[in-house]
Amino acid sequence: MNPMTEAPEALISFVVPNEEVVDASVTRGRPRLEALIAEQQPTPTARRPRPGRMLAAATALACAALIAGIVVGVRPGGPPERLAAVEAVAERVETLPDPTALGPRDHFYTDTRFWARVSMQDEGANGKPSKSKPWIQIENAQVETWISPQGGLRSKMTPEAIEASYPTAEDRRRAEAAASVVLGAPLPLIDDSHPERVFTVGDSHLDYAALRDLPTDPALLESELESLSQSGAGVGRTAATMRAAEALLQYPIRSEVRASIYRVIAGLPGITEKTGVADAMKRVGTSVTWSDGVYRRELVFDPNTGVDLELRLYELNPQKVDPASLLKPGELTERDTIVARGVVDRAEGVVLSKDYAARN
Amino acid sequence: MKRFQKAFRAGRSLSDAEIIAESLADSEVFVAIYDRHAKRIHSYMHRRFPGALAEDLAAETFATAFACRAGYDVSRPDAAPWLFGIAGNVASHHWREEAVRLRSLARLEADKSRVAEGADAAGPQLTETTAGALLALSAEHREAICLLAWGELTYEEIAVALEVPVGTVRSRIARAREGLKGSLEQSTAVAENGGVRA
Repeated sequence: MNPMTEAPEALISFVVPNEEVVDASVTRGRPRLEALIAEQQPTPTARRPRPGRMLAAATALACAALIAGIVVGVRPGGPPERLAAVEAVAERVETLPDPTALGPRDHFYTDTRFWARVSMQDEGANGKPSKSKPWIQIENAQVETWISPQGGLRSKMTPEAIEASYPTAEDRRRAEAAASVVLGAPLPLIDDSHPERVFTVGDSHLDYAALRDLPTDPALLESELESLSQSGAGVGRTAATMRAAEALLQYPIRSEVRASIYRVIAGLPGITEKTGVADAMKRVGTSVTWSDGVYRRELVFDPNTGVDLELRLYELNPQKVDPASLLKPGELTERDTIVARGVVDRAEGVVLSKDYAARN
Repeated sequence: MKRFQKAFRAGRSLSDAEIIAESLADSEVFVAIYDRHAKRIHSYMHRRFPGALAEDLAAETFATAFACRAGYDVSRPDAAPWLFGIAGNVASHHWREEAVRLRSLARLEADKSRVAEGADAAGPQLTETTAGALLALSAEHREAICLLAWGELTYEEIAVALEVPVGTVRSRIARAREGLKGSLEQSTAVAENGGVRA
């Protein structure tokens, strides 16, 4: 074969590395990988399938997830280029004035609309799913949170806003046939049970001073994010960093820090960006997407202010989490849309903690 | 792990996809993926990069694969294309070192040729011209042709590795071949017209 005319790559195909060198390299590589695996925490826990008695629990779970800012995951491989649209957001955000500082008696308020499309199954004995047929249920709820800079987090679900619906009559029939389904059951509308929580970032809790003192240098901040994430360590650099980054973007951080977070995100491997993304309220933003063992996650944010607008979760392999799940890979399964956010002078709802009341 | 051991005892070989899925529950199982594919990935890296760097990049490839395993498409039983895709991403950060490697290889071959001058020059050699032609290709075209020639992947596997349609792979390889041919023909013409042979 004439390589000039047939297959020029033949000219390079004979470049064969020294067999002994490769073998030695392979031998040394194995313990490196074993050490890496040994260092890792267990892989991220998948969200468990929801049994029939679920609406209240599911909404509470969503609230907890919202508060905790749970984010893990990366995409295989990753673009070596930095994300241009995200970089542009960082440039804009950096010049913005800092958000209003929280006074000792203020609260940081967030109003979120929760939407989920979940595969349900009746709860059987010992809390395990029964043999009844699963169904699809669509849940909507309003979740509000108040965070005091002195410590204390209150979350509230408005009953009127909580509802479940069914895409088909068969789904409704199965739901109604499930004996343990209790829709409209008493709900923990006010959760004031977290006096220790201030600003939750990954597994860490930052007080307001620490939140305001975060570094603005992207390299230092990335290191800080990974450190704050803690349990994200087992799922790679991107996952660990995003876990903390997404949580921080919800809070009243300094503009320079917000800009720096976007600079960190722009350089992470395994993340894609998209512009012109509309959220559930028809607000148009920019989004970044990555995936974990359970979901592909998409965070939509305002490209002018860097404020987060919506978090979307798409199923990756729902049958791996729950073999009976009716959801399909790629299907949107959860959406948390931020409706309002700001500083308020009091936390609404019934105050359950005397200490909390005394402080406020 | 139980499923893994059971299959192992039964003499049945789990697919890469099954091992990766199993590794989500028991991460140690992932070492089996290393055992299956380390030789090819290390060889590929050693063809492209100098020794210590090649070893590091191969290690980085498996570390990245381990971190990203949750996103593996379990409908694909063979993980090799996926691993080569990760290897390509890892390698793309080091194109300068790759250029140095290729040119040093070419110089080495040239030295060997001079030693063997007069004797029957055995087989093809990587000349500086060839190295230059390869480096003159766009990163996308070079990656495709390297996966074909050095990774020994099929067009379909390259498509999986690069996450592009097979048609795009065909197009990239065709253009890479044209690019290589063009550079080589030009170089030959220069040599025949009294230019300095590379």
